[in-house]
Order: sequence, then structure tokens, then C-alpha cells
Amino acid sequence: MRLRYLLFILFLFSENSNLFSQCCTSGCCTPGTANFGVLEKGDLLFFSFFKRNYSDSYYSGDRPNSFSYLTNDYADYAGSNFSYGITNKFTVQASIGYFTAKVENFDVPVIGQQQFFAKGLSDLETFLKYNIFNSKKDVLSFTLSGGAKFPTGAYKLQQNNVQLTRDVQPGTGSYSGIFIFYAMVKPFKNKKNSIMINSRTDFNGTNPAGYQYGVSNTNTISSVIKLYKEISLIVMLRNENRDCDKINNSRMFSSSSTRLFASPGISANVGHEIVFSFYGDFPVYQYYAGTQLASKYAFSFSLSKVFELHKKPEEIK
Amino acid sequence: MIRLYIFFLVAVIFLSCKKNNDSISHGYCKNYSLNNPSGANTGGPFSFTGIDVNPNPVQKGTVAKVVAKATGSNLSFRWSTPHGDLFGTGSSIYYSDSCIGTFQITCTVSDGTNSVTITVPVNVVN
Repeated sequence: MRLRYLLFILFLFSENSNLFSQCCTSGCCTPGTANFGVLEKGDLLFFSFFKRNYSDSYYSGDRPNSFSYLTNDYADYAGSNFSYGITNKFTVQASIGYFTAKVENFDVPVIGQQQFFAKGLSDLETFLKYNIFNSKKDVLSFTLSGGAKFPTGAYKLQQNNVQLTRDVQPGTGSYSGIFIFYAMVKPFKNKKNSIMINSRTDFNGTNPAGYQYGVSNTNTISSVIKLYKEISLIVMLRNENRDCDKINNSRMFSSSSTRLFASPGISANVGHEIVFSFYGDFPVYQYYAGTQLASKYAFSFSLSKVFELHKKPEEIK
Repeated sequence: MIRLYIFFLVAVIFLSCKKNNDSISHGYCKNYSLNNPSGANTGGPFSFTGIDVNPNPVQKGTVAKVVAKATGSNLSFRWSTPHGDLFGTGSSIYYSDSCIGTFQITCTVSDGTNSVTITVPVNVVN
């Protein structure tokens, strides 16, 4: 029966991927699995993380390219998510963060070495999550989420009256609609290990400068495996598909991509029910239309804690 | 609680609409060799007649010199583009991009009293 459940959600997952196969984003930068699914009524989840992304080489298609323009590019991001269980079915979530550094280092003929740097508040995301199905004994559950991104981050920072490049701007300047499907299954009889599937699609609007980020879709499959007492291993594969960006409704060929990442992590309960996690992020496969800067690695660490704000009935001993 | 959430969303929309992005300066461009003074004083009556982009088309990954053809006193130059990279400051800057396509470069020249904005296309080719 559980195997059938697993096959069913894998089927749903594959359909979902095909549905949005043209597009996806690397923007869904919250690491780990803590923000998946819904919370119990009255629970408040606080999740805070730091993430660094680094790139230093170009790809054409699925191959490295000798094209030399940017010598490297990195972003440091500190983010926070707050989730609250309104009921056992409904959870509301808000996410925001701050880019402490977005840096591009160039080595361009004629003008030589240059550096762009910016920092600032990111865009704000809010979601409403609804648990649409929960099987008996919590073996299988499905959650749908809808949300919006608000352009709280600056998108046209400038220095000495010259606008900095779009890639270092901390915001997009546009509103977005976000849709998430989440499934969790416990395929084994002991119900200790679960498999989680999450599929997120961002439909981005056009900002006042006429720039529109392409539709993006991120799919993850992950599991948390208990290693020793309070220490767990997180195994995650993440697929990102991104459609072309547009300027004044003209598609930009060299902006779509398909990527697959391995994102292993380790988490530990460090006391007072605070969970510390560390994650790596390594590209397994990357395909880029035209020539684009490819991901090299990312790493992140996070702290999370659930506050039980509502008094719950005591367990009968 | 749902009412609270809706109120929160409305408050965020309201606050984000009020934000002015034009004068934020939490960033910099470290130009190792391109520190042209902004606000060149070229003398004569104010005029801003065009922007020269050379070469145009420009090969991706290389630079085109972009010059605002302006005269006047105490001129200030404001540059922007929706895509690509602008290096330098003042009346003469450089444009470069790693993506092919046709993009726009916009320059606004002001002498404190008069202000003119001109946009020109630049082609980035393989």
C-alpha cells in the first residue's frame, strides 16, 4: 500500500515537472526541509539561515566554455522565515532576507579589472499553505501553497549616477506569484524515515524598467535520515528549470537553464530544541542556453526552532 | 488570524509602493582605472544632442565606449541600462555584456536647470 502511495506521488511529481518544464529559478534559496509542509495549530517556526553562492566559470549548453568575462561572482545572503500554524490545516509563512554582499569581479579587455558590489534588503515572500490530504497514521500528506513576492528590495542601485549591473541588485523590482506543491510519504513500516517532494513555481511580473525574470520551477526530493541521537543526515536532489528572461517582452536567449544539484546536509539538535544545520550545494548537471555563468558551489547553515504558542492538551501517561 | 494576514499583506504592499529606489547608495563600482569626474564642465550653452556608442554592434565580452554629446556648465550625467554592465562615470563610460541581444542605454544630462534624457540601442553580437 505504501509503495503504491510512493509511486502515486512520484507520478504526480513527474507530471508537475513536465507541466513547467520550460522554466525555473535558482532564487528559491531557503536551504533544507524545515519549511516544507504545514505546522500544528499554534506553532511558530522561526528559521534563520546564511547562504553563499559562488560561480567562476561559463557554460555553453552542458559544457564548460573558455569564455572570459566575469572572473567570479558571489552572493552572501542572510534570510529569515516565520511560519505560523493558524489551524492544523493552514499555515502562513513570510520570508525575507538581506544580501550582505553581492559581488561581481570582471576582467574585461581595454578596461581591465573591475568590481561591482551591492548589498541590501531582498524581496519579501508570503505564503498561505493548506494541507489538502493526510492519510491515516500520517503515512502520506499533500500540501498546496500559494503566495506572492513583493518588491521590497532595491533593483536600481547606482553609484556616482551610474546604475549597477542587474545581477548585483538585491531586489527584482517586480511582483511574483508563487505556487508550491508538497508531498510527504513514509514508505517504510517503521515510519521513521520520510521522503519529501517539493515543487515550486514562480511566475514573475515585469518591473518598472521593463525587465521580467523568466518563469522558474524548482523541484526537490529529499529525505532525513537519523544518524545518531540528535544528529540527522539530509539527502536532497534539486532540479531547477528557468525560462528566458524578457526585456520589453523580447525574450533573451541566453538566460534559460536547467540544473540539477546534490544538496547534502547535516543537522543537530543543539539544545532547547534549536536545530542547527549545515548544507552543501553542488551542481550535478547544468544546461544553459547560449553562454552563461554557471554555478560552482553553495553552502549554507541554519538555525530553526518551533515555539508552541498555544497550550496543547497534556499527554496521558 | 486570516484577517491579520490580509492586513499584513496590505501593509507590505503599501510600504513597498512608497519606496524610492532612485537615490539608494548601498553599492559601489570599484573602477580601478575609470574614475572620470562626474559633472564635467564643458562650458557654453546647455545642449545634449546624442549618445555615441563605438563600436556598435559590440562583440559580447568586449567593451564599447559610450559618449554623451553634451555641452554646458556643471553638467551631471546619469546612466542606466536594463541589461549589461556600465563601467566608469561622467560623460564617457564603457558598456559591455555577456549576452547577445539588443539593449538600451539611457543617459540623462542635467546642468541643474535643464535636463534631457536620450536612449540609444546597442547590439551585442557573438
